[in-house]
Amino acid sequence: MTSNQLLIQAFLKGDSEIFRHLYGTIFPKVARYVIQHGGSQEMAEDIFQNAITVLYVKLKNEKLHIQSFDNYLFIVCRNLWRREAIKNRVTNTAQETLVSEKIMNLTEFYIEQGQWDLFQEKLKELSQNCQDILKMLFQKVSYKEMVVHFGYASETVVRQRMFKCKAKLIQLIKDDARYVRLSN
Amino acid sequence: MENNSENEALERYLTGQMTPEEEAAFEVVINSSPSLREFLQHYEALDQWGTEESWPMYEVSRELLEEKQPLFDNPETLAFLEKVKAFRKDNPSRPARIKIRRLWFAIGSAAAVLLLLWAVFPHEKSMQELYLQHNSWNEVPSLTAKGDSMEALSFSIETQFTSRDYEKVIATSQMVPDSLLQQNIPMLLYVGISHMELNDFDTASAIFEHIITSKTLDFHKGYWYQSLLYLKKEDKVACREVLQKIIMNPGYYKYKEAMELWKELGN
Repeated sequence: MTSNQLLIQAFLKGDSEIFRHLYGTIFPKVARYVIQHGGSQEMAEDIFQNAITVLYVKLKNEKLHIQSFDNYLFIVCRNLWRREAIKNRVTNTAQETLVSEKIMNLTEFYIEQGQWDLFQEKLKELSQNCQDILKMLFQKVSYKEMVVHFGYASETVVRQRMFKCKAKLIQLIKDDARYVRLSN
Repeated sequence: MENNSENEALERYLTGQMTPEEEAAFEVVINSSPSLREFLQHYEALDQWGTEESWPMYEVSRELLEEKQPLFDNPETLAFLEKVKAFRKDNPSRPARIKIRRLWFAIGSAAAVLLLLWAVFPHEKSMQELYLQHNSWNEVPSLTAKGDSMEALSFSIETQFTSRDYEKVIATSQMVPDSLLQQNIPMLLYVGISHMELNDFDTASAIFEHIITSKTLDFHKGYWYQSLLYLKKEDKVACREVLQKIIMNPGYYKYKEAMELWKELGN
């Protein structure tokens, strides 16, 4: 059994040593992320607790293939914060109530996180060229730079390639059984 | 997408190859086609999944919510949540910080004793001792603090670096497209230091040299780490040459430390 699996096993049992590890090593990074993105220490604590709960439900009910428990927990926290920040921006809710347990629908986030996992998983199934081009798109690399990087003839070629890669990714996601269950 | 002509039209629409008239006509088609609208919704959502600043606002169906809700309401999950809450209640000041404060106190006490001993029994430090004195990497800029879109990879690298798992730092950095890595000075510092710690001096030196010639605001940081590299290699002449470049420029990174190290190296 790998150390990651042992960690997961202890986590599912609610071992206080695991909480000590998570609050000692991952929480400070989450707090820093949340504070840097306009939140507070208290919000970070709520985000962290909710992310731990979502992760527990995922590990209990899904065959989740995660390479690093710590990294995945940070990603869940980051996604939860991103989602709440965007939702707050859209609905103009006062930020103080942003992460209160009363309004946070963890089930909804759990479903969305599942979509994000699916997106990540299918992204890895694309050709290396498609993965590279999409990663550059997400990292906001300009089309001009991509022309140079990939040695394409023009920006139009980059756009066409981008379209084909995204269309392929959408198809892969839609062909997965989990997509059907998750979509509205 | 239902057919090839629709697919071709979509590609032309999304890659900016339609005239304004064609665009307007195609938007009428989009409005009347649920499959095209769905495709465009996903096309946009992909960008949101991938980028740092956004999150797609899905409308999750009530049926699906009702199906999944019991996963959170069941006694096992609630009991787990209670354990988390109890832990937080018992550790209100965040345990890691308490631990770190104690650790710092212990380190501080030990350092005070050592300083006293060193003051009483002065001796000339070896280059390896000097390297160990200066290789505290706490001041290397945080990667996750950048808030860039490589947050997950940056987080991995920083965590691995903090755990001194330098091989993993190098392996993880290889997942970053080379063209992006070459522009990311903080990440290059982590990778360069990792190579240095693993005694792969050639690669580390090439990375620090790349930073020095990078024409970025942080280029001068490369000098400090290049000097530490020569220190570790026990190449006093080369180390002094690099330190001299820092000493000549008071605005350079680690100017004071470079002065001290210069003096400590002796002749």
